[in-house]
Amino acid sequence: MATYKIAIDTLGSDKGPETIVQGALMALAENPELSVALFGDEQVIRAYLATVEHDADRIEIVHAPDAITNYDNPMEAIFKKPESSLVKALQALAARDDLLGLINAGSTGALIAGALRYVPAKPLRRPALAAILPAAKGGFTCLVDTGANIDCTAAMLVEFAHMGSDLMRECYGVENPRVGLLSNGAEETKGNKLVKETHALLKADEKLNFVGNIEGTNALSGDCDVLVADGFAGNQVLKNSEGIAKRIITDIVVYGKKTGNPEIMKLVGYLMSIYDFNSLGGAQLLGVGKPIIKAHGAANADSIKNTSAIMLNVARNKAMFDGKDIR
Amino acid sequence: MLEKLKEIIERVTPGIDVSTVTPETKLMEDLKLDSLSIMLLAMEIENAFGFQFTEPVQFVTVQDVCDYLATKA
Repeated sequence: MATYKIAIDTLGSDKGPETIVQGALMALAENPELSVALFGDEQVIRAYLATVEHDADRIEIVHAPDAITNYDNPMEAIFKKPESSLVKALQALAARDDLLGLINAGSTGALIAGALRYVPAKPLRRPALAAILPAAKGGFTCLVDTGANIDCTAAMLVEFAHMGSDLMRECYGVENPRVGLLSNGAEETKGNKLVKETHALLKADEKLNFVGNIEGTNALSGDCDVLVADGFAGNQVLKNSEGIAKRIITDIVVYGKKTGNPEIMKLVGYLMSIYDFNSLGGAQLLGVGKPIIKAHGAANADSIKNTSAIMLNVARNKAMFDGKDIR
Repeated sequence: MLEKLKEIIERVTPGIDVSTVTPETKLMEDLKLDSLSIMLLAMEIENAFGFQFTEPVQFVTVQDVCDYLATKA
């Protein structure tokens, strides 16, 4: 019996709608309580569904064949492409109580602009993107912002710290989330003007559990549950981590092939399950009215399945999106 | 009008210094508002003045916003 219904935008991703629908079907197979509303070209979706086994009762198709692409100006596209799958999905998310959240793997800018336009938080908040990354000490670290806000003020970073703390408390069961501030040194005196100003504000904020500055080398150590950064620096940490993980795994694969040792390939599988972006799912858009997750533009079907699992977790614990002050 | 706009700009970008804002101040160039901030600004203006933009806003200066709002009064 399906209890949770999520909207999935099938258009705008690098790998095409069939991959997104395949991921949605994998998510449905893994989660009996899930149903989906697929937004996109009905003909394309039905053509794919005709080739695979699926539970039609748990799939709604909303015909919206127009796509917003990365070549569109995001701010203009959400006004000028009202029939696009993204705008239709966001409007439905805002209007329909049965839709608990939205997954999109298309243009990040259009998703953020559209979410702000059609599914704003009440009162209005500034959205930020949060990536949930595996921490060396176990559990996860929420890195926020990973690219929605490139130029930030200190007050904005404090707001991100609150939104990240809300997410980790409400959806990941961290009772008193430790907040760290990304800097070029752990000492209070380190950092640029923005970091120093933010440090002082975070330290003075009694509603936050601020644990001080965190260097990039310790971003994934698990020394904090929420790592706050402006969108430019946060995006660099995210992409660097992705790039370094990819490089190391590639080197191990080469070594494994050279030595012919099967244990090496097992290790590769293990590392991929932790560090590959397809395993991690998408980044959560905070500061909006309902759960929205941005999947990687190059997401494969596995990634959409894993992103759906994250969405289910958020949907089950969605107090932070109900407009209540949960601090 | 200008004072109300200053309040809204400050709400959209907390921590920004609006004391020097004049009608000639450029939103992106001088105040460093990015496209997301401009969108937030537009939505705060909608809430404050009770109407909805039907197309993307193209404001360059604070005066542009004031002129637009005058047409809505």
